[in-house]
Amino acid sequence: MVRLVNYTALIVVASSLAWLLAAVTLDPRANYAGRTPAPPVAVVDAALSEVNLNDHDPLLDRYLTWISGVARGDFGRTWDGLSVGADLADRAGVTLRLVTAGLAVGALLGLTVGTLAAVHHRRWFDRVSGAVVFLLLAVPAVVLANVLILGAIRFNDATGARFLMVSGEGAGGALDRLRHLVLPALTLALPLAAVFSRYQRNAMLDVLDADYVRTARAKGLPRRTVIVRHALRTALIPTTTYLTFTFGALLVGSTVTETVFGRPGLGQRLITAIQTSDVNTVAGITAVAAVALLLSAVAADVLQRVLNPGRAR
Amino acid sequence: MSLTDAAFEAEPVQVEVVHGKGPWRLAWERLRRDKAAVASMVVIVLVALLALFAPLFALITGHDPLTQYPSTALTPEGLPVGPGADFWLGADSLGRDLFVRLAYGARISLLVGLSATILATVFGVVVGLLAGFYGGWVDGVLARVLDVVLSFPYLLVAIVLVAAVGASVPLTIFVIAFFSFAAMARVVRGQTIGFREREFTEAVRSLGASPLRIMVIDVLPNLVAPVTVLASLLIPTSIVFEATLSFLGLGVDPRTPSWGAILADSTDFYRVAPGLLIFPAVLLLLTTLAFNLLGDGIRDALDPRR
Repeated sequence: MVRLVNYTALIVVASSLAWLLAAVTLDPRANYAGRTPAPPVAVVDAALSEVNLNDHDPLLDRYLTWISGVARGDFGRTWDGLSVGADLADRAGVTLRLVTAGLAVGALLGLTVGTLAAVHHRRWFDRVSGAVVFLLLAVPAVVLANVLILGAIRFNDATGARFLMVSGEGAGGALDRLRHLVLPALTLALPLAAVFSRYQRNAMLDVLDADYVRTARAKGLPRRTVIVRHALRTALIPTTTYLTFTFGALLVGSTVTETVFGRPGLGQRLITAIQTSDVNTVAGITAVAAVALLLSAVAADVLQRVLNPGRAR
Repeated sequence: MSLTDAAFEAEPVQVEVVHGKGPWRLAWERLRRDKAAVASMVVIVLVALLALFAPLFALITGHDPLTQYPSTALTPEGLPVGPGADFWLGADSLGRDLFVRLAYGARISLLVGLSATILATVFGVVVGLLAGFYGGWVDGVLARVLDVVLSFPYLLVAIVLVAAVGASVPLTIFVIAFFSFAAMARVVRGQTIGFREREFTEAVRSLGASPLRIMVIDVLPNLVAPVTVLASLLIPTSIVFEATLSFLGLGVDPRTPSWGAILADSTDFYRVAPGLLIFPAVLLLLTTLAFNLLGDGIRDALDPRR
């Protein structure tokens, strides 16, 4: 409970800092700068004041307007008068689909590889997967995304199918969405799978050495049953906890992926919001990200307790 | 008795002088036996040479990193030429020399990677030492600050800050250092708390040593191993961070040839000139991989349990 209060305070502090930082450094007035004929200052002032972005108004007043709006669930408006809340709600779905797909594929792949590597400890599968994992851990997302795009273009050219789409989100039904989702999801999933497989491998190695696993083997259970029922179940606990925790961090980490693949999600919106000096949108995205990060931290905590009754108090 | 045995026995007995080996000497010898670590060092030295001699390459090829050479670098159709004698790795879409740009980009990457790491390490060690050593309210305040920094969606802030203040190398270094120091401080704090209660610190304290002396002379040397390992892993993180920021157009001045910016330039020319993507990508990958492997090697070498 104390923790929850702490987390809430952290979210408020983080979003406020982001708002202040954006308000002090960004210049919404620039959106009107290139116009001919130049609009009168009074008109620009009125338009900016309307959406609480006028840098001629006192900073404290603007902050109070913004924070009291947020308290009522209103995240303010963009410079051209659109509702930040509605915009972010639309985009959250795009990001959520990407993150969920990436996490699911990454977790499944990572858990499988990690478990197999531990079972075949120090044999060829362990060594080869270890090398691949190390390579994947070193690949920056920008490089991986672009290499995947290059590969997809080659693949499409070779098969003549044009199945994999490299840009946008897709609007023509589930299959079209899937075609657009494959590459960005892989960009998120591959490095994740690398991390997960390391965690899972170490957890599995610890468990395979444990006395109760030896006991299970000694009472004559088949190797497969021991590995799946006894060892894997226990080894899943730390990895699952880590997985939950990753979910929040991913919402932020998808900025690069969304930008490269032109997906209209939260991460991409952050970049465009900065370009148009939308202070409220920047703060809103920071708030969403902070909430996601801390929610997943709480979820990881809860999961840890549920899955591990031995540690519960 | 065979001939070789006889020859062996006839050799004068070598008198071996026994020197004590310090922990650093031992670690270095372990590191030298680690093939992956040695290969990584070779790669890092090569990248450093590339950066160091960038002006030399510009001189040899006669190509400035910022100048466009439309007459020699672009085909009549306006496409960049491939690798060859004139342009070693080909030209980019604007007719600039890719190899010379990559060499200058190595300077940015190493500069940002090393300076950000040094800054983060110094700051992190100071904060971690103070928090761990004094405990109480000092620790409370510093730990809360670290919580905020660690829970802050850092990429967002980095982007806002860099976009607002303007892209430059010092700012990029500062941003990266600011968001990396918390991890270092956490580790140092934990270790310091452990050493604070140990017998040797109590001994020097009872001799009347000042807190500063205990922290710097007695505790700090014990932290060198974990700090070295973490710092060596911060370097590739910083390099990737810089490349990502530059790729998004938010890092160093966009005209500066940085690996991230070169990658971003290449995105529209995959089909016609895959080298534009592959060369910077491989260079970035090799560099981060080398630093990662070296960091791992250092960790193993410094581990006294091995």
